[in-house]
Amino acid sequence: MRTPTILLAGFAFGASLVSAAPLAQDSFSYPAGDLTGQGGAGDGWIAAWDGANPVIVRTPGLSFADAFGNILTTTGSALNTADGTGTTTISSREVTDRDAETWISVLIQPQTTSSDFIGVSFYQNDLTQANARFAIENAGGKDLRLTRRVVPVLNSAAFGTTVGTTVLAVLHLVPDGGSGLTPDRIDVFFNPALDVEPGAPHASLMIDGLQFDRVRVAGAAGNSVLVDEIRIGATYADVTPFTAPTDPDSDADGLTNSQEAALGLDPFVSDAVLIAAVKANPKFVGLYSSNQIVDRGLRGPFLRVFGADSIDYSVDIAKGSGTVIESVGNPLDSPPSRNFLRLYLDTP
Amino acid sequence: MKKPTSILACFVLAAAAHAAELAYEPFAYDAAAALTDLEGGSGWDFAWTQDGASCVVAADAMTYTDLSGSVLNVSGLAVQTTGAATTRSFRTLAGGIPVNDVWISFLYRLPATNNKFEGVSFYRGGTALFTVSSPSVDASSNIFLGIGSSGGTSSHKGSFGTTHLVVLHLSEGTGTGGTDKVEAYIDPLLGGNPSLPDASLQGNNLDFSSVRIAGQDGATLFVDELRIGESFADVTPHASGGNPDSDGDGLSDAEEAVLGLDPQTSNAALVAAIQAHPEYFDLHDAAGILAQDGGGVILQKTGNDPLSFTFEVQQSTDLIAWPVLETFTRLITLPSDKEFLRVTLDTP
Repeated sequence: MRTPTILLAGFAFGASLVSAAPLAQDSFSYPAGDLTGQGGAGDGWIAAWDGANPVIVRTPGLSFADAFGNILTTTGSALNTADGTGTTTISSREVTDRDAETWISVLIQPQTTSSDFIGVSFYQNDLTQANARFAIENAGGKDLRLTRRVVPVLNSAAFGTTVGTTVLAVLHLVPDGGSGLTPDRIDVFFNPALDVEPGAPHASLMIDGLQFDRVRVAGAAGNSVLVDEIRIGATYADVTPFTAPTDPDSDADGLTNSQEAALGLDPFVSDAVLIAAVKANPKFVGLYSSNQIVDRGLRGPFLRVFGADSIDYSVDIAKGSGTVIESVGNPLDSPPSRNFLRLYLDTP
Repeated sequence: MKKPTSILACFVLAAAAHAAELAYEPFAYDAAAALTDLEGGSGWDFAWTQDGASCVVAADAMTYTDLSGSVLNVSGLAVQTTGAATTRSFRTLAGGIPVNDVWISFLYRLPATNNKFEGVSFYRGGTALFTVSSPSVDASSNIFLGIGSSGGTSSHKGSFGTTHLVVLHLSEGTGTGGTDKVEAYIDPLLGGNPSLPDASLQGNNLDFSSVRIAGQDGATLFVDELRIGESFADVTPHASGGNPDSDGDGLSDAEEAVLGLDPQTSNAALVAAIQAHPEYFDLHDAAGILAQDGGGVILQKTGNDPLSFTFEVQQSTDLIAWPVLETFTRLITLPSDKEFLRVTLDTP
């Protein structure tokens, strides 16, 4: 039998990291429309957003909660790399020169599958290809990856995503973390826990030099991805401010600590297997799931008029998916000049 | 009352036929016989055909016993892909009608390592949709699930010379963006629905109408007990060895194995707690399901009896009095894993 455990320890984890203001942050609290001209100098930024074919600001902004229920602090709107014209969009903003250990976070929500570039890139000096440094981009589909833009270009393994689901991508620029001709390193973490600096990265790429001084958001050929909450900071906590949940899920198994206490389970040991098995086999515990319902819908009556004295009516019986599996009906014999039909479900 | 249309009789018969496995091939043929032109089993359209060399009937049958001691029902012999050239044997489902929202099971045994393709594929017309295989690019014993006839994703399960039970769940529209999804379970416990797939894939329109068993250059794979049904239970008929409840907590030992619990230690308190908090698992008691009528009616089945619902077409000339024009009654036999029928009026 699973044993109940003491819960109190779990509630203390929430705000263990101390955060300071990030070096630069953009939550895109701008009016809907073109991004060009929004923002300005200050708070770590050198200038406003620029771009001839800019990405657009849209509402609402994106949000993110980690597997433990911690909620990333967000505000404002978000960016959409598709402006509706099918053309390539590019927006960039100059930021204070940075060439040191740095953390960068950004929310990205894939909207489509595409082999074209969609993503957030970091440049030095200008936006020429030769001065591209690194990027978070789509991995030839909807998934995401870290890319070293410095020649030779190098891609990390892809991180699986779901269209319409927001991903928190966090980069850690590590001076002297590499070796040989690429003495520095960039780690990438996807959807990390917010309350503790993450350990093992999803992927790492070696690079020679971590300098950058501008951020670019772009979508080739009108492809869409949503981008929000770009933060650049000196520590992990700086770029992942969060609100701890009042009832956390310390083992990230989908049940909160208080729910596990009510069930007599250990909130610090994942019960994901048990939870999945109960959901798949509700009859074991005398319960039911909504997917044990078979749906049938009745549609009609429909009328087909062939002449004054020749009218048919019909009723469709459809699956829940809408597929019609049967159609029943008959002629209306000698219909009166005014006649109305309706369906009545005569099953208690 | 007028007679319902002739569609009624067809509908009732079709619904009843879907109550158990849709197709079954036990390979109950003579050992060493070429599979081509053999037409045993049920739910198939004509006999096996070949495109390349034919698979042949193996000398022995295959068996499967799960970790809790439940034994899969088997009969006949098995089939093997051994040959002097590439073997490809096809068989089409009854009527050649593509199916979706089905479970598939078969026994799979790969005798030894090689760099050849051996696998079981599912087709619609001449198009391969998804495949369970030992792909040519992988010499390990791992069982793969791939889109089309590709290797795809490894389940990280499989041993040379061991008979594995492969169960696939094809579900319509449950993937990202409404795509279809296939989930693969290797060697699941037979006592209940599996919940954590070993591999999965998504694709558009995975309705299939035929099965192919193939071995590149005659490389050997043994396959047996090919079943297609509407529920996990349909494709995993088994003997549970008396189904004891060793700890007397109301869950059988086989059910506790599926839930990952200890069958020797009572979990009565856990079961009671789950029943008291079904919302933690997105589950409901019967009353909770019956309340989800969507403005129509919900009927709960008794045993495996079909459910009946009745609707009327009413007519009026004054929108006050609505005499019955015609009454229709339908019988619906639910799949074994479904418990409720919901009928709603979708009248525009």
